[in-house]
Formats: sequence, C-alpha cells, structure tokens
Amino acid sequence: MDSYRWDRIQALFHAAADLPAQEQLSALQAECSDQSLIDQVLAMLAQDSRAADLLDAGVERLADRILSAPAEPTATLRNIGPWQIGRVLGEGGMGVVFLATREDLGSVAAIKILRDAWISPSRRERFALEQRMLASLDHPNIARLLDANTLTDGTPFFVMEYVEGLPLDKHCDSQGCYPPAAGTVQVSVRRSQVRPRPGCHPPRS
Amino acid sequence: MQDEFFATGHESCRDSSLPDGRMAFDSVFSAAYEELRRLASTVRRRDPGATLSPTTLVNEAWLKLSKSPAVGSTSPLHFKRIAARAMRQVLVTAARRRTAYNSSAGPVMFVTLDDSIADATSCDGQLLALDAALEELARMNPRQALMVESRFFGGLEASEMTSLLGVSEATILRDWRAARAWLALQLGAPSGSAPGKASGNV
Repeated sequence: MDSYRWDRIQALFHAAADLPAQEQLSALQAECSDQSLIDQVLAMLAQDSRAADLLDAGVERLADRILSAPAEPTATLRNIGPWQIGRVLGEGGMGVVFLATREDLGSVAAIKILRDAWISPSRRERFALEQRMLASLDHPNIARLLDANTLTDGTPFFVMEYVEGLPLDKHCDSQGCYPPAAGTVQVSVRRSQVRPRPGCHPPRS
Repeated sequence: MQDEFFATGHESCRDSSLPDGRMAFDSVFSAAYEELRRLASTVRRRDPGATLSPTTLVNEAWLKLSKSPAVGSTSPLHFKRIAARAMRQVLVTAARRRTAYNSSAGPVMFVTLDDSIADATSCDGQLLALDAALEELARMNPRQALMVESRFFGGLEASEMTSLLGVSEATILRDWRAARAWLALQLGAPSGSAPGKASGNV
C-alpha cells in the first residue's frame, strides 16, 4: 500500500474509532465513496476493539521461546572440510567455538565460526582482525592458528590449536580468585618473547 | 542484505550528532547485537527458568556497553532505539534459521549453530509475520514503523518516543493505535489468503 492510501485509511480510522460501533459504517460512507477503503477501515476497527495477543503482550513470550534453544551443534553442521565438528567449547556474542577432530591425522583442534556474519561489516572486520593477529603470533602460551577459510554460505571461520583447560571464569572459581574485568586480561608473555612467524609482519601496537 | 538494511530502515535513526552516522550506527548496532546475543545465552544457561525479557536485556546491554568507546558517545535513548533494532534482528535471525531448518536442511542451514528443533515453530511464524508486516509499514510510514519497533522490541515508553521522534505524546498514541489495528489485521490474516500482494493489504 502506498503512503497516500495509508494516510487516507488512518484519517478515516481515527474519524470513526471513537464512535459507537453501529454508527461507524454510516460515518465512513459519509466521508468516502471508495468501498475497498471502507472495508479496510472496518476490518481495522474490528481489530481495534479486541485484544491482540502478540502486540499487547509484548515480545517477552516470543523472545523466551525463540531464544531458549540450547546452544548445541545440530545435525546440520557435521563437518567443515576434513574436520568433524564436536561439542561446543564456548560461545559469545560474536561467534561459537567447537571442538573438532580430524580422523585421518588423529588431531584435535578448536574451530571458531563467526555467527551471523551478514549482520554488519564491522563484525566481519573484527573477526578478520582477530584472525590476522593470531596468525602473526608465535608463542607457546598463545593458541596457534592452523587454518582459515569461509563456509559455502560465506561465513568465515578459523581453525586453531585446541588447548585443554577450564574456562577462565571456572578457573577463577576453582582458584578462589576473581576473573579480571573485560579488557584487562594480562597475557603472561613478554613482548620480546613473541616472535613473528616467518613471512608475517609483527603485530602493530 | 545488510546494505539494503542500512540503506532503508536506518535512515531515520542515524545519529546526526556523530561524525559519520552510518559507521557509528554500524559499530553501535554490532556491539548491541553481540551483547544481546551473549546476554540471552548466559541468562538462559545460568537460570533456565528465567524469562528473557528484551526490555531487561536492552537495559543490561546499555549498562555494560555505555563504558565502551564505540557506544559511550551515544545517548541512552539512541542506544535503546538501536538496540531495539538489534533485538528484532537477533530474534528474526533465530526464527529464520529454525524455519529454514524445519523445511529442509539445505545449504543455507549449514551454519545453524544454536538452534534445536524446539516447539517454538509457531512463535517463529508469528515473529516472522510481524517482521514482514513491519517492513511493509516502514514503506507506508517510516516513523510509525520505527515507533512500533522501539516500543515492541526495545521497550521504549511513550515519553521516550516523543523525545526520539520529536512528536507529541498524543501523536504517538494515535499512530500506535492505527498501526496496532493494521498489524493485528496482517497477523490475523489466514495464511491461505496470501496477505500482501494478492489481497490483504488493500
């Protein structure tokens, strides 16, 4: 429907909305000769007088049902290239990290996938930045980047070394210490110890 | 897809006080989207019985993100408005994925990461119908669509919407009443009658 028609419909709707139901039709007919417009307005007036479950209740109930799906890989994501996808190791706002295994080599890795890659360019850019930084670093305390590519639908992912251990928050719980505030994680490596990989530029600071 | 997304519906909510409206919107939107996603999953993991209210999530996201440089220069009201859009997108994305998976596990669903086949199918359908109706409303009257989105997905109060849209509260209530009646009509239309192009929209 175009804006002009919508404006007409709204004007008629408001003119009749507060009248008693039995007077609405004649009021509309006095204002307008287009029967299709009158029908539309009458249908809206009928909705106006009754409860609208979804619109009146708000989005809470829908959101609850829609977002409550558990974060487990489904049968749809079984493998990425030679890697077989296993359980979810962790997830955040940006992506999901899966445990992955390669049967031919008997190796284990962690695969990070950018969730909802299409949502904005800056998400893809940050994901790519993380990938480039990881690629440029070589240190025993930093998980190595093994591979990177995109899925058939364009979703970027990268494969990195899998390091066994507890998540940071659980580790802190078990050690009786507080997790560091976001952005203040101290990586226990000295800058001089981090060697750029051959063929890579050192990370810019 | 995001290009259309930014080129149409977002014109009205770019923040002209920021140096580059589009870039700023993009970074705030991304931050809000990620935070809402993260909050939804952590709230649910810690307390499976908790109700996920978008209004609460949006408020919590603001508390968390207002300290970050990308978001900090945005006013709380503008953030809420952007977060309402992000919230809509979070829900629509989840609903679309499940719907696509249910119909066929084609290549689109290759990256379905976080959806189980829950009994949420009817909710998905309702949300997607609302999303489509809101897009149609945005073509008919962008301000009304923005208002419904802010109120429904972000929990903005009428008084907040008057500051956001620069119109009186009476106008807000009037616009809401007509939009609500029209949307209810679109959502209530029987699926067989193909609302939209064939008949329903006049």
